[in-house]
Amino acid sequence: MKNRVRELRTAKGWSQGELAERLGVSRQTVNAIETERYDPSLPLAFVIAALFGQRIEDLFEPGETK
Amino acid sequence: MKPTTAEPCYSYLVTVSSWLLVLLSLPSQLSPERTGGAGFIALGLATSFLHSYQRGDERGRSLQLKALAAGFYSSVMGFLFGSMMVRTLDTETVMRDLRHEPPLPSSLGIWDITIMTLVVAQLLFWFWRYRDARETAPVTGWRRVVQMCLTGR
Repeated sequence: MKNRVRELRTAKGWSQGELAERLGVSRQTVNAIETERYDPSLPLAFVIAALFGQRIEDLFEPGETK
Repeated sequence: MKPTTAEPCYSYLVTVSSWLLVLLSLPSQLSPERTGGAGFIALGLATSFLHSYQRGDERGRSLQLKALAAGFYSSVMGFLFGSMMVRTLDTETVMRDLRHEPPLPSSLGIWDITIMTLVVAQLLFWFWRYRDARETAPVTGWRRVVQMCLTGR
């Protein structure tokens, strides 16, 4: 699944570690999501979307996971 | 707003109850001193494995389950294949079969499989976590050529 997590994170000026802390996951997980190796669960996707003030469909779009 | 789960409780409950089980079984046939300390080694590995990622990290949890399944299948298959090879190459076993005598008891125990499973699972887990932590480097050189041939991009 393609996503705009990296774009939105850098726009906020957060590091991967900072985002991970806000989400309650590890930095590796944030990197795996950004590099599209891992699709987050629905609850985590909602948390990410809420954190960036976006809708899930604006953040994630269908596509192949690497 | 962070997703909350009861996962930390389960993890500590499993670890503590496993250690209690082994400690309570000291006077029994399964006691670690009668199994060469394998029980303690297995539990040490299990404790390290269960606590090797941040609590509540869903990616860590899913990789851990994947690593455990891969570790279990590879260790069972490895032991079965190894045992087959030993039986094939060991003439004494073949001769006993031909003489219709019962096979010699094997020293392979559940602790051996548990230890092998946990070692393979831990190594796989570390590798996958390392891969997750790595930034995707831009593909250059011959790898780029191969990628273009395969994906057309």
